[in-house]
Amino acid sequence: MNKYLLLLHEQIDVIQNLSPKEMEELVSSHMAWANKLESDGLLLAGDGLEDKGVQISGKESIVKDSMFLETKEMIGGFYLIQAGSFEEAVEISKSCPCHQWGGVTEVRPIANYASE
Amino acid sequence: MHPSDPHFSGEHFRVLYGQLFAGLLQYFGVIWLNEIEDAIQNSFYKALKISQSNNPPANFRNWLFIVAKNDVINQINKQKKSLLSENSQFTNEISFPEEDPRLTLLLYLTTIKSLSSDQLVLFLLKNIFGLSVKEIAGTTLLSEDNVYKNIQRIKQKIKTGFDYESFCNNDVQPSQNRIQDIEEVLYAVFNIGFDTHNPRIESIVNDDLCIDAIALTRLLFAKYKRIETRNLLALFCFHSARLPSKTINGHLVPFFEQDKTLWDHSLIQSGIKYLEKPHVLHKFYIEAIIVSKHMLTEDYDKKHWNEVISLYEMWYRIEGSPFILLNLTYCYYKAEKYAALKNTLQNLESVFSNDNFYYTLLKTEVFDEWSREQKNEKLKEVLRHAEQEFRKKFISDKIKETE
Repeated sequence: MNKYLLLLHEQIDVIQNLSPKEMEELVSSHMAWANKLESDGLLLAGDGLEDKGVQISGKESIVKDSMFLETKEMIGGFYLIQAGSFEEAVEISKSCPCHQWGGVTEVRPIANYASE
Repeated sequence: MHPSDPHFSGEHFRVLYGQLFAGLLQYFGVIWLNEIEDAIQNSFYKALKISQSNNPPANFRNWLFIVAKNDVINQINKQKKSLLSENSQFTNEISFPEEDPRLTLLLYLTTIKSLSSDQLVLFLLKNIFGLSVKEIAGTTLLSEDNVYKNIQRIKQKIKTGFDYESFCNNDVQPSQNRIQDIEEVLYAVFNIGFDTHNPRIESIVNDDLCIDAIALTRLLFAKYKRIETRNLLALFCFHSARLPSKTINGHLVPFFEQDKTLWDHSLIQSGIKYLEKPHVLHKFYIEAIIVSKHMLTEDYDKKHWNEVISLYEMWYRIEGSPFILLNLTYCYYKAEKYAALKNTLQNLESVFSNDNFYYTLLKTEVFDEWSREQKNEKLKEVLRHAEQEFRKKFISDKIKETE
């Protein structure tokens, strides 16, 4: 099994304006999805990410507010899963609830050169 | 974690919205109304974040309350740096109130005399029943813009007319008139839920609104024990008992064609238990009696219709609503009282437009002076304005009958 990081790119302005019922449905979907992954033995970790954050760059380690504070899209959370292949990971990620409200799931394989 | 898990206690975000709003308003005061709304929205957003983790809070409602409370404090701090030191009570550690604060808020909103009952209903749909502007627009047939502007005006009225000290003093005994106002508001909300026009809800019923209206009416009855509230509960029980049979496979089924075996008989029994004759005749009692008669009779003969006509006429004398006349017209038709039928239809002509769903359907059924072509044309007009699929199907079937 290989590991894959799913980065959830969310439309902040859409998500923050959902009605309580819509938000409840989204929260329920995430929980049900994570529970399913867990019961199938595929979920390794998962968490939401705070909106605030900084970016550090340069040799002098200059700290700046994250770019997403000025954009409508940001990485709102992640899941770390395991799957037999990249194609399988993509197939699993197609049902990620973040797509319900315009979000995008980015699937990134965790580098694993030891097995090659 | 799932909303049905113990952490959520099976509570819905809409209900939580109303409870948080009422609880936070009681804590911070009405001047921070907008901040409270934003804070609740933010707390739901944070709930989304924790839904992706394996470490959910043990008491979700209390967690939301504390998150939202801290959010309001942060917003206040940003606006007015010195405020916290002046209002140190905001920093107290508090938990979510044990008693549902929505009823207290309802009681105090009814004291703001500058609010019309329509405005009160709009505000409650948003802040107690947790509907978004878009959802209210769909449910009430008002435009989104209209709902939004109205809500802004209402908030202003509440801010200027709200007595914070009275609101916080739970020992104040409300007058019978104020409890009556709440009954009216809950009745209106239930009816909006019971016959929703929201195109996003493919059912004639918005169950959530009905369930919440019943829950709050139960709280109201438990606290003040009014016969009118009791009869309102009876009415809600009788109506709710029919929910399983109102639409079948996406098709709207009219009352008299419904499969009675699908009705919830335990709710009918609860309705009968709640029903109690008041000292002075009241519309909730009369309406509950009418509905129960329709639901419990074995035979829809002329005697039945004449009894129902007397009840509707009694109700019309109390309330005078054109919707009562609409129902009365159908009863005249079934009782073969054609002169009264024609007379009532004439009265209704100036009230309802020809694209009104119920008025036109009724008229095409009972009005014998319309030709098949005229009926066909009128129904097509209604079809043009219908948004929900099940309504469109129902009207299309009626159109076919006229072809």
